[in-house]
Amino acid sequence: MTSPHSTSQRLPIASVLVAIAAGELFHLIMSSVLEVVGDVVPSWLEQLLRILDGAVASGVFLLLVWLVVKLSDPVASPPQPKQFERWMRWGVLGYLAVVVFPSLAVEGIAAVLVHNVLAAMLLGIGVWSATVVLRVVRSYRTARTAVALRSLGWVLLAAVPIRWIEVTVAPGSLEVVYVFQGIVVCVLVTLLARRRRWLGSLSRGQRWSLGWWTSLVLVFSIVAAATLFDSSTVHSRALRQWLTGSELVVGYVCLALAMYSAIALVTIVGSGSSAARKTFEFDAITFFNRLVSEHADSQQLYDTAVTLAVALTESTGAMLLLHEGDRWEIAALAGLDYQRAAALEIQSVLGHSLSTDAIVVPWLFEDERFFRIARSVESYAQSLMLVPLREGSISYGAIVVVSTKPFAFEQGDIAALGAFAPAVTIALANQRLLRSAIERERLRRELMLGREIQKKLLPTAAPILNGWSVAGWSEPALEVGGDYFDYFQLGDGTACIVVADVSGKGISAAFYMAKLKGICLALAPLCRSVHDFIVRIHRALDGGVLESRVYITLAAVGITPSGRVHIVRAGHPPPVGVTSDGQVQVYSPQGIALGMVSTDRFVALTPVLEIEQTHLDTLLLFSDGYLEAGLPTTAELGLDGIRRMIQSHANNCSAEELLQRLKGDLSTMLASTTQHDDITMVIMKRTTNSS
Amino acid sequence: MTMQHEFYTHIQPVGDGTITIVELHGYLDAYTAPGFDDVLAQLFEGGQTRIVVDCAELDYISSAGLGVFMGHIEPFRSVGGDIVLCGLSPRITAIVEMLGFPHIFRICANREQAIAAFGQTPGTT
Repeated sequence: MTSPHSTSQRLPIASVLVAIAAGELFHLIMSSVLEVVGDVVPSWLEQLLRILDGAVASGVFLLLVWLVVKLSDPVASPPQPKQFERWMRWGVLGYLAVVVFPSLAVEGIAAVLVHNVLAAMLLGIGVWSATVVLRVVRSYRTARTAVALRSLGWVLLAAVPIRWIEVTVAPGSLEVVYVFQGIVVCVLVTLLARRRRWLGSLSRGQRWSLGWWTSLVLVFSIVAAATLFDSSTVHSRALRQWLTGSELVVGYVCLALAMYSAIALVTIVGSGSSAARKTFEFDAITFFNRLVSEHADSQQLYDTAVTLAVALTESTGAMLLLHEGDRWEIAALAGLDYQRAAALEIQSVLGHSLSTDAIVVPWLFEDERFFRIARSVESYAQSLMLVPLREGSISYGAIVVVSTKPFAFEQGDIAALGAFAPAVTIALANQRLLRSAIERERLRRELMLGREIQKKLLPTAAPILNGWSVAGWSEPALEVGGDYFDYFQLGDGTACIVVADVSGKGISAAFYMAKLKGICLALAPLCRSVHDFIVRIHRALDGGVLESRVYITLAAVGITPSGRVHIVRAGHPPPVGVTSDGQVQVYSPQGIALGMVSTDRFVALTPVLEIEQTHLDTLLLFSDGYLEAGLPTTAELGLDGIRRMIQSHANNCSAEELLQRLKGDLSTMLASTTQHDDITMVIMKRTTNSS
Repeated sequence: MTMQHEFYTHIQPVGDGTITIVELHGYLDAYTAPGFDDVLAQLFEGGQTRIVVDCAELDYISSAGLGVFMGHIEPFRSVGGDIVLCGLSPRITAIVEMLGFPHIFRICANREQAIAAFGQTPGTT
């Protein structure tokens, strides 16, 4: 294991180890010297040497404490069960060596040597035990860890002066204090070991092996503690001779390890096996995927997802949050009601990280983000875990599980929920796709319906009006369009053929087209001429009916009862006529589109044209879609193209036949491109000789 | 589905800075018209109300594109500004004339004439 500060720490730790070894050597020499010459030197000198030896031992003791604190500095990744098991195995070896250390009945120098070695071993096992407990509780710390650790430290260190007082003042009088200290140590360790969920998820083999080694450590550490508390044992004596009271400190450390081992053992034995959990995870994912493939409805999927999340994480409640636009919605709940789920304020507390990071909050009370609301949600949420549901850069939502117990989730638990999350994400992605497909289909149907309705607004019959047969056809570029044609009988008996084009295309144009039809229908019987008709239409549109950017171009041909032909061109492509002798004529009187200027100006700018040729035989009215047919991929048909086409087709055919011929040519033309604008054509053919 | 064509505008102030030239490039149709609409709306909001729209590089304009001019001309004129068109190709000229646009908009042959129409001598641009 490496710590970011390892290089800067190496030197002091090495120096400290050297200092400790030197101190021990000093003690060995000093105790050997006292053993050999203790009887011959004056008692004051012996006393002085003993005090010196004690001072050195105290120094070494403090260095050992420093070493323990240094070694137990928490590192980036907290201890995992595997590592803990390794520690336990080494601990068993160490304890075994210490506990079964042969209490040889040796005398003199040999006894000094044996005691020194035993003391060193006991100190070593003490350092090791303290380091293990400290490392674990400092890695899995809570807000109260620091206070509890400080208290534990003082309780342990206090054993030295208390023991010294007892030995020098009243031997055997303070046993009750030692018992009290022991109880305090056990209570503090229990408090420090609150986060033990990390020992929870183990495979069957791991459980057995870790449980085995931990129980051995438990037994040996209890034996070691008991041995050290019994002042008559060689172990106790060996440490006491090194430094009075140190035997109690090491004993309490062994007791602390025993306590922690006992708690760990209960956790290890009491937890479910990870194999069972893995099987359950697999079953849950399979079940959920089956539900998805059966096209279960959204809510059923959501409810199942949260129910499975609760079961997978052994939590007490879960919620599914869905990302809708920039909002988060609670889509499903298990073990929580809406009010409680909302009170957690997940979105406002976790904010942006909600969609990016898996989060574990071991205890809401100790989390600065949740501290404010911890009290109000205490009864149903003390710890929580969140796993985002995302695929690539798309965030679909998050699953949040809560537990009524603190420290119910550790980083390792994210894996369990994390394994399930992709199944939910895929289900959500599918749902979203399906929803948008349904929505597209619905819109398509609506538009097709709109298209059908719009088609019904156009005349289907090919009537004969005042001696002219008429045939019309219109095809929108999109589902609906803004082109319009119609035939009316005006109030004076004039037959009026209208082709109009609302600017723009699609639905907005279609609405104006329908409106225009309504206006035309209402006004036609009131009008006395085609010009009157168009002007009245303009007046009707003038009062803010059209948006400022919308205008309507219109061409109207009026056939009076007497057979005169009148043309009004309001910004529209000009009608094209063919005379009976095959001459093509474009009729382009001055005019401006509807909705561009006031009606008075419109009247001034849009005069009526009366056609003089009495031998006019054919008239074609069309929208600019026909003019521009061919765009954007090829050249547009243009007015010249239209002239050519009508000239080649106009002879000896009815209006309907001519229309079909022109449509045939058009479809040949459009085969190599897409229709980019609405196209409308109306053919008028004279059926009787002109008067 | 109709193909989508490229359209962009290039804006530059001329003269004493009170006239803005908006060059139109590409296809101005129902799909690209909203972008041009935004350009004119922003110029109006920025107080730039004397606009010369240079159509020399404009390949195509649909009724929706022409509608953008219609939608903006009144507000511009109501604050003493105007929108003057110039550089129209013969094809586009035919379209706007058919529609009656010259009755509403001033249409000039080129940029210099359009600037002059605002009563300024065309400066270098």
